[in-house]
Amino acid sequence: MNMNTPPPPALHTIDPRWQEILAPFREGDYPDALAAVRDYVNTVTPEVRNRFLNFHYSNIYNNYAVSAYHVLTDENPLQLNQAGWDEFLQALEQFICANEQEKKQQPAAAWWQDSRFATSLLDHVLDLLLRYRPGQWVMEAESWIRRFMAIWGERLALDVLLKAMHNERINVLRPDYVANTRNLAQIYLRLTETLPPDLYRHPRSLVMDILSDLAYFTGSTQAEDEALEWVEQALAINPDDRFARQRRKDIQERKGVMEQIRRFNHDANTAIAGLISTLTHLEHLSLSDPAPTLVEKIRLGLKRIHGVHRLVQKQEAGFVNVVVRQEVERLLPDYEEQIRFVVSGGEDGATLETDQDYLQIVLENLLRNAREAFDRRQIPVSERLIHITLDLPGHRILLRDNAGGIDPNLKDRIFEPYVSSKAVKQNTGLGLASVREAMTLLEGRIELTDPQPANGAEFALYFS
Amino acid sequence: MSERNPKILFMDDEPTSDIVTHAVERLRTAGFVVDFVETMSEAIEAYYQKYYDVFILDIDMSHQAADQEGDGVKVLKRFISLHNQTRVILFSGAGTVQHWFQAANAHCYAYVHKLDNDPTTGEDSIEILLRQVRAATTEIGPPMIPLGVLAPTKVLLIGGDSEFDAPARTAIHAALGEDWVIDAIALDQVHTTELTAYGALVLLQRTFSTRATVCEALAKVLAVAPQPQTLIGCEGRDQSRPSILYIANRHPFRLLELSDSAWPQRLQQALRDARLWYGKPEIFEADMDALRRIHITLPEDIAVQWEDFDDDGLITFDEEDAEVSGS
Repeated sequence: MNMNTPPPPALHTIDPRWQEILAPFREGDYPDALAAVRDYVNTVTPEVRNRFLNFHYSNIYNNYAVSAYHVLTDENPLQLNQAGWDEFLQALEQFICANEQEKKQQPAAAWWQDSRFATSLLDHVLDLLLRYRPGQWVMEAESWIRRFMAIWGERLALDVLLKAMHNERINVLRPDYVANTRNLAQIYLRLTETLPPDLYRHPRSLVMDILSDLAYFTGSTQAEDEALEWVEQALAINPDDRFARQRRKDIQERKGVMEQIRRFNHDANTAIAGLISTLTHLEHLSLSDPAPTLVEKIRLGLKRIHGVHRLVQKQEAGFVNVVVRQEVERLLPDYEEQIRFVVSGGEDGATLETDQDYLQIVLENLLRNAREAFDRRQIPVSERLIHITLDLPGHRILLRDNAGGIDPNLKDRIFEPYVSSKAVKQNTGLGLASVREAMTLLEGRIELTDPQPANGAEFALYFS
Repeated sequence: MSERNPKILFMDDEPTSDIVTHAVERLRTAGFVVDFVETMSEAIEAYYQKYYDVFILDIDMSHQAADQEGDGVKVLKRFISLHNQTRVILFSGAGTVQHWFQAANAHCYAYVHKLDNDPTTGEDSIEILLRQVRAATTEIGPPMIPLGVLAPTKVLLIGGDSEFDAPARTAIHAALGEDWVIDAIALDQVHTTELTAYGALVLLQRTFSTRATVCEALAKVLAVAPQPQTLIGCEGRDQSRPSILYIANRHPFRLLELSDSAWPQRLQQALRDARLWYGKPEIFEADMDALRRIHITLPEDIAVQWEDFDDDGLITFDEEDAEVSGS
């Protein structure tokens, strides 16, 4: 700022009327202030006007534009009043012209270099554009910022822009706030691209970090890659950017893990598919006993592995009509030496629309749990009994054992993962949690019946 | 089919894996002539050298870096762009959600996951592959009819998820015009609805169950294409592979990913593409580099004809025909 240039005379010393015009403006009564300054501009006499300098025009039109801005935004914060908008733009144009002229004529003058008016007016322009020109404000905003930069230098305009970006970022009630923030950030990056890197390295990398953040949380399929690209760019210009370093590390690690899982799935899929096709091949050969039985056994084992693999991936159920009684009877031989079963219902090939693999997992886990309970409580084999009721018309299966019942303390939590009434060594505690997961995938649910039988546990499986 | 044995090109980067050797063996036993290659580049080379009735491609994600031609879906797109009736079946144990959607939108004939089986019929993946190859070599593709030229100017919006309803309506009107009538029904009402009374069917639903009732409704919707043309949208989740591939294998005109926030724009574009007799990208984005490599130069006048299609996908005719050229 050049302090040697004497300041121009104040406006009210040229025209005392200006004091009256200023009064409502100072009080923040913008409708009156706007009416007053509009009237003043239209009625000021040529004699007075002849004495005006750029400085006075700058004052008048700053007052005019600021009043117009407040009236616009107070009256209707969401919908544009076109006449008010035009009036604001005209006042702003006059303000800029006065300052442009002064800069040309008196580059050393101090008043135009005092950028307070310009700062708030640029702030207002950006606010109005974001409010009233959703989706189509970007070009206009950029050109206004460039005009302000041309007069007052990059610092002022870029600071206002950064502030607008930060404000928009937390303006969560505006539907477009993410897109708006991104656009403001992109403008910032465009405008600073050719400026001295030493000065703008830090803010540019910060803006890139913000873009990375915004990309990351969109949750789209490319979100992670896009977020990574922005932090890479940030690190390219500012290797000390700690946020970018940490974010890059996180994303890369996650990508690595996901890639490992994908490869594992691929390899497991290929291996299982290969084994199944080999078994099919074997079945077409003429095998002598007991080979066919063994082949069938391997096929069932593979099917079980495949089922668990699908469950772990939470793959949607493949619904088919399953003969439930047949599925149950297939499982029982493994248990019949230790437990007596009474199976009722589901006769005559009655079916249930469900997923064969998941149904097997559910039943098998429940049977295994019951066997463990019998063992744990040392119930003699001769007394062990499980009732399985296949109420297929009611889309329900009941399993009741006499293994002593569920610990009342655990009753509400038994379907949670890692909750187990057994010693830690014996099992992971995932059995009932897996059952619940499988029932959810089957669009059904599992519950403990209420009341529970006197000396055992009863589970009800509901199918939709 | 009776005069000659259909020719298959089988590409897989794991030629010695059990599933691949068994599949090739079964195809040969079934009477198909199978040429086998291990890379995408060889598959593309073979496309230009010899006529094949069906291409079976692996996704092959392991060699992407080494193989400049990219994965199976990219090659599918290239083949389709050169001849839109090329029958490509993807047979893979790899592949991501993006691959399934891209493959459907590039009009793969079928996508068979190596580990899939058909729980209803008990077929394993090789049997499914064989069935698809048989179908591909015997079925004649349906004629492609332009949406909105013969069809009634009515769209049936199926699904009933309120979240998708409003954006879908806006997209439909933006793409086809405000005068198009939109009727909306839930998926389970499909059975009692006369689908051919519509110019296009748009079915948007987060996920689809594999239950018989849902599959039947989906199959009914997809069976009526191309008149009316069918566009389906669902969320791309790994867990939904069976239902997504169920849809892909029934040839929707477009399969839209509803987790992508830009889906309304994609729907709009898809409807515009559907107004052409087949679809804009499919006939216009021929792979010029690939054509040049084998010294095929398209005649100038064809290029000019392509330019005649405006952004709305409508053909602008000479002046004397101007009244039929649309807006």
